[in-house]
Amino acid sequence: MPQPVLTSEVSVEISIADDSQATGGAGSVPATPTVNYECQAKSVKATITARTIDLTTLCSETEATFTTGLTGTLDLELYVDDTLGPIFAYKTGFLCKVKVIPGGAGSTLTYQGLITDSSLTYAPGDVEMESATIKLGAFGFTQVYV
Amino acid sequence: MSFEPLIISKWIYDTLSADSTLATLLAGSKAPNYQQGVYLEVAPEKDPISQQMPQLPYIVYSRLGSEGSDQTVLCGDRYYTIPLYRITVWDQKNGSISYQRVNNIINRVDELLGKQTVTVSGLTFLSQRYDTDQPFEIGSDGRVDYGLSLLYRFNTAI
Repeated sequence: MPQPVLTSEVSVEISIADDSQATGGAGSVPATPTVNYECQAKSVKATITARTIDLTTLCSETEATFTTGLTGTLDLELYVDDTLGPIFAYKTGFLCKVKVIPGGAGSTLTYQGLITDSSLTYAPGDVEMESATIKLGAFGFTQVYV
Repeated sequence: MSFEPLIISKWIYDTLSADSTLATLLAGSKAPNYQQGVYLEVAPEKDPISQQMPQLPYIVYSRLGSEGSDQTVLCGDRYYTIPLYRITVWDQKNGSISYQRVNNIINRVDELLGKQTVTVSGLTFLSQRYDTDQPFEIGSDGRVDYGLSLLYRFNTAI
């Protein structure tokens, strides 16, 4: 009988480039992630999408979908640490790598992309939270994950 | 940290019982601190200081559960919890009632407990008043037990 995988002790390591993608140069490519944020991260959601074209011809009996490449998004929710502060603020337009090491089944993957959205949430009496969306497969990377 | 509400509960008691202004307001015509006057969950049959039945007015505070479940992070740890507490100042009258005495006391309670950022015993929390209540009970002999309640959430970073 299949067993569910309980999410526990998922390691999340993040690295953000020193310079924006628009600036270019060596500083615009982030190093391999080493800083662990697993005890700040509330959730991580990775969506990989295949870009396709339709190669259907007049004689096709079904739609002939053909993959041309991969794209997708990585959505992160993090609690803001009182010492570090928000890590994605002012980082939209920067390349980013996020290494996710599942605690249960599954392989370690390092997602690569461009930070396209970052937000901070403040509510009276609540804890500060930040969220970010990373568009995977940005210019500067050859793969959406490695 | 295993049970944060006990630390918060102790802070409430320590804060209220250490305040001389509140002690004077609770004493009425008696000497301040003649009785404990601040009780957890329920007033006892015999006050531990006066060794008499607790005299009104007095304060009773109690846990009201938590707001939602504890928030967790991917490493599996708890990160954030919000225990709720009710603080009630009780008084008693025959016939018509007046809130003047309990209102003075509850105002002082709110000055001491409301909107406080506290670090105690390695725990940091923010107290936030979120509601009020006015409980009362009518006795068979015509006496009315009545009070004013403040409800607080204690936003606690673990």
